[in-house]
Amino acid sequence: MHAHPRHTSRYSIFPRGFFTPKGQMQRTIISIDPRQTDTAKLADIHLMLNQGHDYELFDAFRTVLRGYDIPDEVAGIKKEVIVKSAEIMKKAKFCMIFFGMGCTHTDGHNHNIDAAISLTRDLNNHTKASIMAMRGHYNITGPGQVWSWQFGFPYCIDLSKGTHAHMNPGETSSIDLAMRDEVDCFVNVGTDAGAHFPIPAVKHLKKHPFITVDPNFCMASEISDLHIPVRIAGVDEPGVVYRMDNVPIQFRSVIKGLPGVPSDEELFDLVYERMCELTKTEPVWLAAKADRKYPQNPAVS
Amino acid sequence: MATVTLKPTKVPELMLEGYSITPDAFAGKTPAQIAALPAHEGKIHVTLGDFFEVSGNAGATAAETDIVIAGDCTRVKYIGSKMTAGTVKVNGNADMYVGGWMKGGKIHITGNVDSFCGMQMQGGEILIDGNAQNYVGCAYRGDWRGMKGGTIRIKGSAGNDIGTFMLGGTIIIEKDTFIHVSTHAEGGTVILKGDVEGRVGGQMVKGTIYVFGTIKFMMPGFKKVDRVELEVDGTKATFDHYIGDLGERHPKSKGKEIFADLYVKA
Amino acid sequence: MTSGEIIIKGGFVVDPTRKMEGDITDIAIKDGKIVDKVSSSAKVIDAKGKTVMAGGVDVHAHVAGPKVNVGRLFRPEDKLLSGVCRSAMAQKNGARMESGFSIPSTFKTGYDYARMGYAFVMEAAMPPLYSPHIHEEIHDTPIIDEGALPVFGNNWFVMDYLKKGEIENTAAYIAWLLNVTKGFGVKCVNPGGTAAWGWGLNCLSLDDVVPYFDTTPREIITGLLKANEYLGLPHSMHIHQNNLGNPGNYQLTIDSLKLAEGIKTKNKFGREQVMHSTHLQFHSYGGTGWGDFESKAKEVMDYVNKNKAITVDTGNVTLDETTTMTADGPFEHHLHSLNHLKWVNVDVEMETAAGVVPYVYDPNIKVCDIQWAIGLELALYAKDMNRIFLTTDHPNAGPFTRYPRVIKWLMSKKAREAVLDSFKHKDKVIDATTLHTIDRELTLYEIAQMTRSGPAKCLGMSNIYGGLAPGMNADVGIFDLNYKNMPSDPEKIEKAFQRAACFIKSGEIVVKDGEVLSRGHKKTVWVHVNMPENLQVKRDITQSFTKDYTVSLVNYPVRDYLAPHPFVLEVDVEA
Repeated sequence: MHAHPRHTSRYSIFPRGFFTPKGQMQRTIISIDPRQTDTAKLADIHLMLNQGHDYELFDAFRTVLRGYDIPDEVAGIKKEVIVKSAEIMKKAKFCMIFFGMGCTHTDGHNHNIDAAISLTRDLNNHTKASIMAMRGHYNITGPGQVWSWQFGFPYCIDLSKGTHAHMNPGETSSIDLAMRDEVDCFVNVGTDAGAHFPIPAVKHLKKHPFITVDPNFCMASEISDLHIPVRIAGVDEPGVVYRMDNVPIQFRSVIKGLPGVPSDEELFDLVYERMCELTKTEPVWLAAKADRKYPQNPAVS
Repeated sequence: MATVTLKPTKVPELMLEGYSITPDAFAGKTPAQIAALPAHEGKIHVTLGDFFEVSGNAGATAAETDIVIAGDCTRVKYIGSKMTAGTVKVNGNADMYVGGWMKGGKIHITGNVDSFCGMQMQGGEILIDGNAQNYVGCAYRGDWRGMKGGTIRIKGSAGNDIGTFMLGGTIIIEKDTFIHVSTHAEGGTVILKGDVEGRVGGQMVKGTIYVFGTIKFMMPGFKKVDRVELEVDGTKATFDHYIGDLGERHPKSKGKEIFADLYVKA
Repeated sequence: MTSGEIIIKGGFVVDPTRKMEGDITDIAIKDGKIVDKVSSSAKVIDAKGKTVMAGGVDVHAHVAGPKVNVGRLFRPEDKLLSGVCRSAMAQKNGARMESGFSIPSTFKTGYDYARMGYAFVMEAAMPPLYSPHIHEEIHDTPIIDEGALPVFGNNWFVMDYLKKGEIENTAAYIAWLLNVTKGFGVKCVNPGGTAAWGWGLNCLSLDDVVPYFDTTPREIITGLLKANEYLGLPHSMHIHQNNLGNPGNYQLTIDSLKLAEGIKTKNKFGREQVMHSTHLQFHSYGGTGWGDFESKAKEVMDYVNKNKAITVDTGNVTLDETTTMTADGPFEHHLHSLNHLKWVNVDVEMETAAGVVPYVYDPNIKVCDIQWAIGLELALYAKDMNRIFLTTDHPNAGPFTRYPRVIKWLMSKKAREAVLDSFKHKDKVIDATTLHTIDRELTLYEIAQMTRSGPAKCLGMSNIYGGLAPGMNADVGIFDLNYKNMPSDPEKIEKAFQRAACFIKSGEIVVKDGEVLSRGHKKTVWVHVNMPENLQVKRDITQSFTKDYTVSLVNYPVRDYLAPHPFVLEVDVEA
């Protein structure tokens, strides 16, 4: 409800669908959350589990789906409620699981989602089921897509070798790199490391040059050695944005950006050009940009 | 047998990627040649000689080469990774990927190790006198083929993700463990001598876990079937025998479903 | 486009479009085109003792798009330890990092195709809603020219129109979609089956009714064939048939191919077929289960050989660890239940679906070996090599980087027997296949037909790609093979095709001795249909976008800047 205000009205709970013309009346909503949230209030069933026990709960659903018995209480939830919820999922025509950071940013991290994915997979033997991440920031899916096609990994990419890309969350993830002092320069692009990173991690990063590329003043820009403002993608800069279900949406610019403020792309082209100058190499990948001019939006003058 | 001794001369500012510190890379080389072996600090190409003083000739083959690091390697990754024979001993701590992808030989670390120790190893022995961080004997991200063989013994405690996607071999943790033991495993043995927080054997298909201490939160997919007397790692005890994970698929052999076994000391 | 003149001297030219079978002749290049002659200042490339062919044309590969990218991102282990290292020379040349084996990154895709002397690759399944994504990836794939086929076989508009038998409206919808997605032609994947997957079901025969839509695969296939010819598109309808990969599916395959009978081809692009049936290997299975699984390649090819209105490609299994991906959603779920590896399913609103599952074609497993044999049998039973093309349905049956290996197997009985001998279940494989009885070894001329002239003609681009006649694109591969004195060691054939001695793309030398030198002059090829406005279809589209789609109609068409190197084939349809 609050993290993605448009989600309930446009996609998940209320809208009238092709096969669900009565909207919410034709949907059953189960909310899994240790807190009494507004989404939980909307739900038909609220499974108020003990914090940090999502993994056990999903395992219980799977065990029930396979026809086995489970203990009387799992993760603080009564067996009857789990059995009933599993039955609802199984009998649904189409079961959709949305998950967010409450699940991914607690103990077990990926394993919690792994269990939920396994549940989705099992449900497909009974009905049709899908699972989708409620991504945090608006175009967070975009870099995941681009890096996947360029390097084969969606995040945590270590390109330092120059010969091949390496990824291993736990080692090459930004907080691990910071905490272990594995980097000697930090560039913060389009996010707010100051607000989102644990304070000890930020303290480690502050030992070295700290650069922020962001249209706004934010906690990271406040503590940066250098803050470079850029245009806002999707507002004064057009381009392709990936919706959280990976659908590409072609954004136009709606207002004209401030003079002298570059877009992210222009900025990094300039940095690249200067780096090529310093290393005496040919900036061949700039040429690739020249032929891809963004269209002028006639509505913007 | 020939022993090569590396004496650390400076602490790397970033992490040193010591992927060349294996008996396989050292075999047949003189101290000068060993000192010239490549390594990385961040994006910079360095050599082992930049960080270590090398003495002693290596043996003709990996099997005839012993490596001793006389000092601390808290900031050195990949020690003994991908090695096939010989021995490596570190008198102190080591960083990530100790014995990752190793196929044979022995590694002994007298201090602590960081994560990914024995990742996807296929054979050989790893002995850690201190504690290990996370991902002991686990699979690489996305891979469904984890540790296949060999033995990892941690005399201290370990973090989470022990033996993820394990297919074979043995992992022994002598003190406490946090969460996720043998997740997704399809074989292998994990022996936990201390207590464990929970998530033991989640999504486990086949394989065995022995727990001498207590499991704080049991997986709901495990069911107690009987009580047995067993000798495990030299200790005789009575164990409660559970099977599971009942929520996961299981292969059939001769018409009967095979489950993973979890033994918890009664 | 470089205006530099090049002349390739003294090579054995193999060019089926001009019936050249190893003739020693010079190839002259100017302004990115093949020409009759060049001035004496032209750069000379000595090809003496080497084979000269046109740039390869791949009719069916999954190289760009959302499901390919899902495959990349959910298989980090595909990169680990198998990633090609960027050499010092590559770094100096400004080449990008390459990574991945079965699903390479876009850069590796472009470089590897170029190293093998390929000039054009068709991305075989574009979900229309995701077309901007595909064009972004195509832009980041260097050197090779690419096109993409939007999928129509489970499109709700198409099924709605075809249920009512409205060919003209279907054609108008196809024309609109090709124009807005910058697509190349009509792809049809598991017609009806993928839509049925929306309910967790499938269509396993031609007359299975699609739930809700009340149509059948037979109606969809026939309708799309007719609509394709109504428009006169350069490429024919391109079909991945129902019931892929199941034992005993060959009869359904032949029945579906028969639907092409009685449909006349109509186009101005020199195309002769009305149906292209892709990765036929997956559709030529006999038996009732995996126990008595056997090859029916002969039966299928007997029919294909008779019907000139059909072209096919092989889909050779290469016995590697790979990643399967297809718009055939229900099949991937089925495959996942067989191998229990990770599975991704994506449903696309109103249009299609897709699935991805890693798969290990293990030489110690009988079924994989039989699949390997079937792929080769198909090519070896073919009579007209201009109607059967070499593919691995990349990456489904194997990565495209294994084409040279498949060529080796096709050209050498010795190489085939060595593989057969290495099988653990050799006797069982021999019982279920006929490959061991075939003595035929394809010639370089036939390989050139399968990989160059044939697919170019099938795509309606025989005047641009696949040959070396003056006026055609200057895409020329030089391979280290002596036509008159072919090596007795089959490994040398594979090696020669894996790394071209020299590859010229659009008149520029892009590969020399297997090293990539340049980014080439990449082009995106698509079809633009000019036809009178169909008011009903226009209204249906507007209504559907207002009511059902989650994106708005104005945001749907791919903007021009996303495909900055266009090569557009214009099609005019009269009222």
